[in-house]
Amino acid sequence: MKEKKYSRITGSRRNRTLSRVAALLSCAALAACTLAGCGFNTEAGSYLTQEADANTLNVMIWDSDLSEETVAAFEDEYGCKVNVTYLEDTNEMLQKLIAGGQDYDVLDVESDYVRAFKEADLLAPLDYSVITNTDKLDPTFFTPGKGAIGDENFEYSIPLAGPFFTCVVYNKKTCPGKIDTLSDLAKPEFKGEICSVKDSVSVYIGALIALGYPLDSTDDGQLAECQDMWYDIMPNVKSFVPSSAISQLETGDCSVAYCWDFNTLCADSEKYWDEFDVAPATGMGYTQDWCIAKTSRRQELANEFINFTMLPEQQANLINDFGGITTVKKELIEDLLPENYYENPCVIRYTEMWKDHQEFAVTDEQNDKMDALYNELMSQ
Amino acid sequence: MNNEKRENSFRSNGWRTASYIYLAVMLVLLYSPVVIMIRFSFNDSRTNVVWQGFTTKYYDKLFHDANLWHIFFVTLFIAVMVTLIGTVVGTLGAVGFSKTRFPGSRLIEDFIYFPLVLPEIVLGIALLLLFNFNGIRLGIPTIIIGDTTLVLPYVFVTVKARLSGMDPSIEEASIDLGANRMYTFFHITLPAIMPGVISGAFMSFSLVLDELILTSFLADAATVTLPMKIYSMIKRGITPEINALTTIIFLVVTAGVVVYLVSSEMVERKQRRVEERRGEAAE
Amino acid sequence: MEKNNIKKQKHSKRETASRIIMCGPITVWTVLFIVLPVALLVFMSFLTKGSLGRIEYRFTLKNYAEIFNPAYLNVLKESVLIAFWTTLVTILLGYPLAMVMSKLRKKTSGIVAIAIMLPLWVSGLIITYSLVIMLNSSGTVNSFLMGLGIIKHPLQLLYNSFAVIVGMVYMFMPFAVLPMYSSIEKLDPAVIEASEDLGASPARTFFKVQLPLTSPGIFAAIILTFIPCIGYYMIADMLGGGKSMLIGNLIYRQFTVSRNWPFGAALSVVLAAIILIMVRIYTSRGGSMDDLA
Repeated sequence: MKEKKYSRITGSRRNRTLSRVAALLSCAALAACTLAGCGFNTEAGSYLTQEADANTLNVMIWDSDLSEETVAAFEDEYGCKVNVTYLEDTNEMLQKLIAGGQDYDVLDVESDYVRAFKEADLLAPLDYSVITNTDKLDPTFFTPGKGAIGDENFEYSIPLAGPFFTCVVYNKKTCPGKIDTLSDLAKPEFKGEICSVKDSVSVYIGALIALGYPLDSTDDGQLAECQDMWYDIMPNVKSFVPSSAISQLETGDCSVAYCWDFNTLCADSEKYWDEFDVAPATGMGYTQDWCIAKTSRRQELANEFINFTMLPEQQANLINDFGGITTVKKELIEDLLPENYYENPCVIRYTEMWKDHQEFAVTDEQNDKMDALYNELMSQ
Repeated sequence: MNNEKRENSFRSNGWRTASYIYLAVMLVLLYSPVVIMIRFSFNDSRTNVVWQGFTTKYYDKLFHDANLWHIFFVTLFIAVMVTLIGTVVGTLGAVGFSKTRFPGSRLIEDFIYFPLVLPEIVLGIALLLLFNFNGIRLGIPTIIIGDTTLVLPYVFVTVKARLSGMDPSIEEASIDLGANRMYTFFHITLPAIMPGVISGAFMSFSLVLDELILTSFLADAATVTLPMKIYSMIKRGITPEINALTTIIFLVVTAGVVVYLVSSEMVERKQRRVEERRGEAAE
Repeated sequence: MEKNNIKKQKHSKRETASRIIMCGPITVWTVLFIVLPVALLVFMSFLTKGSLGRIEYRFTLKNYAEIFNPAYLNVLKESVLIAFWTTLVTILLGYPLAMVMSKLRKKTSGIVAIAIMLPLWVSGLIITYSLVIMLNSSGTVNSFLMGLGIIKHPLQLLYNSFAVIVGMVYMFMPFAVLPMYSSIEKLDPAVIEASEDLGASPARTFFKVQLPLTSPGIFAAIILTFIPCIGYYMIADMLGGGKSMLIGNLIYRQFTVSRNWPFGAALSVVLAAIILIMVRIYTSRGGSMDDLA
């Protein structure tokens, strides 16, 4: 196969030069066309996206924050198409929006990131003349002045459901030891038993909670202590997961998980209600908030969508699929929820934990430092 | 004749049995995940990690899930477009480059091989930069471009290999007889290299159907391909619905392959019979 | 061939046109979508990351300097190690398979070849996910072994390097077997017979005659496995427990979570450079890209 095919051209030099020039010219012409940019986009096939443009809504969410039935119901009622993109990390969302060229309308932003998004000028104010279902919400979760840090009056964000917690979940039967704080996970009896989410915020803010430091700390000494704590925990970790630890818990691979989907675990099957519990002191609490992207071209539809998800029927869909707490007033939603809803350990625990949780908001500096620490931790 | 030589080429019966056993074991190992995939499409569990009972409800869900079929057809569309463009450009290029040299052609050829040797992630990022810098919006066109770039070297190499095994004198003969290059290409060269072209096309298609890394960089909000959908579900457990879809795809592809093999076998048998009869008639 | 020259000169203008039609598209495509993007990547690697991940157009070599952080070098080492073991296992398992295939009738070996590729064609991701189901503590393998009473406690088959290598081998086996098969198939059986006639033992024949003669196929298989393997990280994440960062993860993170495009570009350039050097070594030792067909 190594034969070299020598050129069989015998044309004159002039012909060769001509062909060279012609080739170069056509290259340059096509390059120029591409660099013109927009021309390319409209011609080469956005006929596929153009028709979609008119009546579409692009939603970026975590995978357990929106029920498929809600999407279908919204599409039916408003005669549009909803495109859902799934996230694994809020930083990823931030990155996509900053890089530009994206076309998102509704965003699912963690309450601790709302300030960062707002300061990066990525959000449009919500339109409460459209979002009228706020009268159906329980004041515990919707009191002006009590919103996310940086947006206390809910101008740019509104919780899509009740609060969530990233905390230690353990199997009551097979867990080998007692867990009070996150640092207990470093104890030798937990070797090979632990599963943990891998985003740097959960990892390091969780450590700050355990060590009793302020949650907005950028102090290198305190962060170094957090890193040491995780170095101690690492030998006990069997697996890091991008977002869900449920399969590790269900198969029994891990008896302890530092994760945020206790609600989904309980919603998956009632037999898990007796099997699993959380360690309340390890909980890092936040809400997932609906926001609207500043560059959104369909802001009215986006506001309608947010409003739609606040309806008792839609909240019930969400709870039935993924568990958790609802923000809707009890009396309006009781009948739509399963009878034993209030015996769900997740509902009990999360409601308790929310009463004395610490609010926090991530800063860019913190993020960079935690990211560097994370890379170090995972490279060992 | 090849067949005869091969049958006698096992060293001994011992080796032959061992070889067959090895082959069988490897095939069983290779296919056990497929069996699991099919089995778990009947699993009665949303998270689909632990077997919780038999049900066909996810097949039912699949047939009513317009969204998932839409995703599948988008993926199929992309795969077809990429295969078409990639095969045409790659074949033309392979033929052209094997016959001519122009200044810089060696360099260009080296660059053509880049997507083969670069990790997909590097290619994806580089293309993303290209589109971003020029303000080109992401979407299906950019995915098609990205995948075609990935696929081009495969087609190029496959066709080139076929070309170098081809007898050049038939082309020369054609030109000597007065045909121009285009005619020669379509009526002489192309049929001779067709197996290579088809093999390249086949490879391209299958590469794109399962492609994830490039797509994740070059897609926009509204575009979801099947691999993207599957990957996004992996974190929480792939619902049996997806298993059902891939089971169906698997069965369809297998059926297609079987049909192709059987029909080509039948064609061959027919030809052999025709030749036998001719032989008899000649006698 | 000389007598054709005259005829060819007459056609030269048409030839030029047809040459442009043939070489043109692929050349243009390569320049636009391979050369330009790579150039941009190299350009980006010298820029600086601004606040919140915006890019500042300040020239710096800092990104390349940062790569020498021991943590990142470790990441590179891990990736290369995994790629190495994967390639080794794939070749060790795949070569015998290719040999067996070459002894079958042509049609049967064609069917076997398709059978090997089929599962991956449909969806490599699902196959990997099925492996998760098979290898976990209550999965197929463990239930089977415990059911037979061979083991008392489940074996740790998942979330470790073993699982990662298994998953990668599944992924790359088809790509490795085919070039080795095509190389073995081209082997003239007369050579083997001659060697044995001259008194060499089967083992000697294998190692001194067959292996060297089929080495192009082996090298092609190595290239087709090792190189993509270095950049793969999704399989390692799914099967390895995500505990170690691989170079693919690190690069991907820079463009998403860490919001540091310049550093990500620098990493990509370094990775690409390493691979290109290896390919150069391969081609200079007589390999040819065309062998990979």
